[in-house]
Amino acid sequence: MKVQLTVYGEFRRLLGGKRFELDLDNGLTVQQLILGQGIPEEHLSYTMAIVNERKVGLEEPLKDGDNVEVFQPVGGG
Amino acid sequence: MGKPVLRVDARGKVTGELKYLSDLSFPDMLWGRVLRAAYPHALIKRIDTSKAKALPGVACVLTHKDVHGLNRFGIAVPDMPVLCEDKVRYLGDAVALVAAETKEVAARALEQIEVDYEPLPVVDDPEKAFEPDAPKVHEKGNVLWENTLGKGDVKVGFAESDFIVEQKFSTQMFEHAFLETEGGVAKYDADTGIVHIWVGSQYAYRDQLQIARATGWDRDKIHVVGSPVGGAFGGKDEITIQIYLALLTYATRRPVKMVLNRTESIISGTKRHPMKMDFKVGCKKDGTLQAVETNIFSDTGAYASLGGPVLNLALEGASGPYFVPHAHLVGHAMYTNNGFSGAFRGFGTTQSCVGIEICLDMLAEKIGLDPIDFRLKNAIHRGQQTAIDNKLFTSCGMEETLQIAKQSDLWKQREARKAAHTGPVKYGVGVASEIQALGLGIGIPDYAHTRVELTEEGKYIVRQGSIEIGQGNLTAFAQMAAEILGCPIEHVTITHGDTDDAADSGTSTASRTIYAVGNSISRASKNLVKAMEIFAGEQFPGEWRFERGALVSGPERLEPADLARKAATLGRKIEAEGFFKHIEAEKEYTDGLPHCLYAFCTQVASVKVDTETGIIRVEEILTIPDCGRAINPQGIEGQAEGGAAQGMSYVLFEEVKLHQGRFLNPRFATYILPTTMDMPRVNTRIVESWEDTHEFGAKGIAETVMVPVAPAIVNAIYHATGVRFFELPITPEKMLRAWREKHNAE
Repeated sequence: MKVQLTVYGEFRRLLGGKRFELDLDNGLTVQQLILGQGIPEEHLSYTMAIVNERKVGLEEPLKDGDNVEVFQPVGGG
Repeated sequence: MGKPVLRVDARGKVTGELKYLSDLSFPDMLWGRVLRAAYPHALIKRIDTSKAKALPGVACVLTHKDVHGLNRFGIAVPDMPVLCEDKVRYLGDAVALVAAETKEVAARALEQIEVDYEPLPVVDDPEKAFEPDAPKVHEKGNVLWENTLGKGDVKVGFAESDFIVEQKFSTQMFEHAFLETEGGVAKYDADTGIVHIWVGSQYAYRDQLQIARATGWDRDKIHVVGSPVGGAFGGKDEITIQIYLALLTYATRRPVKMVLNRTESIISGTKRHPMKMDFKVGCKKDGTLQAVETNIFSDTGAYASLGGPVLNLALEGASGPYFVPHAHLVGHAMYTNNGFSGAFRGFGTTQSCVGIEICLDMLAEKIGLDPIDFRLKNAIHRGQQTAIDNKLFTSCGMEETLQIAKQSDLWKQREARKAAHTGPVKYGVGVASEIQALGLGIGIPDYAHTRVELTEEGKYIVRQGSIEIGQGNLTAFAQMAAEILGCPIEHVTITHGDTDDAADSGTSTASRTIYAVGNSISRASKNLVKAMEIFAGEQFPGEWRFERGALVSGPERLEPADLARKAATLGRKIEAEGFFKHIEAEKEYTDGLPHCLYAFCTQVASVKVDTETGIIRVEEILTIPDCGRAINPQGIEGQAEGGAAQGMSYVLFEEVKLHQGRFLNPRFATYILPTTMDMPRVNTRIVESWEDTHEFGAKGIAETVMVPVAPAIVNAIYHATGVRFFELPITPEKMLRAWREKHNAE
């Protein structure tokens, strides 16, 4: 399945980029996607995910064409 | 919409019916306490809890060894220990936790915990912290964050200036002083393995993740309720006691309650960053601004929290709401042992506005221009580049706010009224303006997700997760939903602040909720209208459309309750979601910078200064905010009054005093707050510059109405007495001394 991944903040620095077009195995969850891209597991507990403009849990299974955004809620103000 | 509406939460709060989270109690409940650091900067050599554990009535004593996740928290940078292992960096640092049968036993248990410290030199000044030989607060050094922003070439700008002012400013540490201190309860459910935490907060969903990160627990086993909350102003944005309560209830398997007393709240909680600011501003003789240069040292205290973003916003607003061709804005957020600072209404702009707005008044005087005319000449407009070279493409009512100020009786009569005060009490009027960035800024996802459902009674529940911290957002949400759903506002219930119940609508900060959550609610409401039309078409013959609160098809009419009851017979519910992502700037500098949506505000203040006692009384404040469309004018006036009070207090009353990292006035008997007796008359004139990217044209004003008040009052004091102040607060003693020095010199 083809998935577009957008990352923010520390994840951009870890992955060396903002947006990625990925070709993945069917049925992967958001968590598996994050770990598969090399983001350390210790970051997972403080990570949020948006899929197709809906906030989801990290166990959400992905499907072809999904637009995934992964970030840490570091904002304030 | 656009009408003054009674707050939906007014009755419960005014009558006392509403129970705050620190009012909650459960059977078999324990009391929790925190052992705080004995020194503002010290190594920990030994912790012995054996005597405390042996005390009758003590259920558990926890140290860093009992923190099994990441023993750190912090919104942006997790550098604050949950429980300190080897070092304390400020007096509020937590070293151990106790849960006991009574508050008294818990207090005695704290005394029984033995901690050996090796005191270290205290870093108590952000400029000294910058020196290469300064003691290190953190191993990596004392710099949390540095940034340089601007455009053009200030050397060119100053070379082309006919007048230049240079001045150093200093603003003080300031306490949120929310009436409800940090307090709440946690309860472990052994059947489900879920820890429930009720603590007043500004973002329950993020608290949930910070707790998960610290404890190592699955987030689905953590349920957080953050609302209702008795005041916050930014001081409950960061984690407060949530992790402590979670650890204690899990360790004891019993409910645990903790409520900080005022002294502990002041010592341990976040503060407004004190800042030292050097400003240099140049303009041509016709008043056209040429260049703004600033160097800011921000004292972020012992830990990061949001110190970096606060500095960024201070820089973004440092040149004020004006077009400036050349700017060079530099800032340093420094670690010290002075408490710890974080989010606070205005978020850095409160401080930098003091510098730029006093400089502008100094320039206006040099040129001989009316201060408002000077500002009008330079007011930024939509389409122009800001001082950090970012295009302002959203709504901007800055000029209108100044025009209203100029035409006000308060401003037009100022010289005549000043002249009439010939005795020892002097009268003066001052003005200031500001630009307040809204939202979290580019590069930090600023989302709001809401759900709206139709009940069988034909009423609506809006499930949203942001928290009402006193700003009146729940009322505005109900107004927006009711407008789209064509129903009375009383038919709309807004849920809030519960990770189990609501959708994640983001944090209640950054003046964002009316804009971002409001848009999300509008989309959800419109989607619900569509869902009702579709359902009606499926279940009832006819071409149904939603009109003025009901479904109509020719002469036929269906009430929403009819649909809901029909759906219930089919085992269905009529509901819809709405989702909104905050618009972003065209370019990106760093996480959260720049912003692209702004509120603007001009405030005019009149003061009377008694030159025999030094007492300064603010007589009147005229607040002119540009908030986009006013959803609830009464709500805006309430925010303006509260903002005026808080801004006035920033100038004249409040200061958290420390000496070598130790708090000197951590109680309301010595940390002086204004009362109703000190309140000036506050008048509000709203400028509604329609914001195209909001369903109803609104922006946000929660912060902007407290920011320019401070420099407006400082400028008014100068107008009255001829004395300029560059350091806050301005106490009667300082006023008297300065007045006498001026007159002795004359």
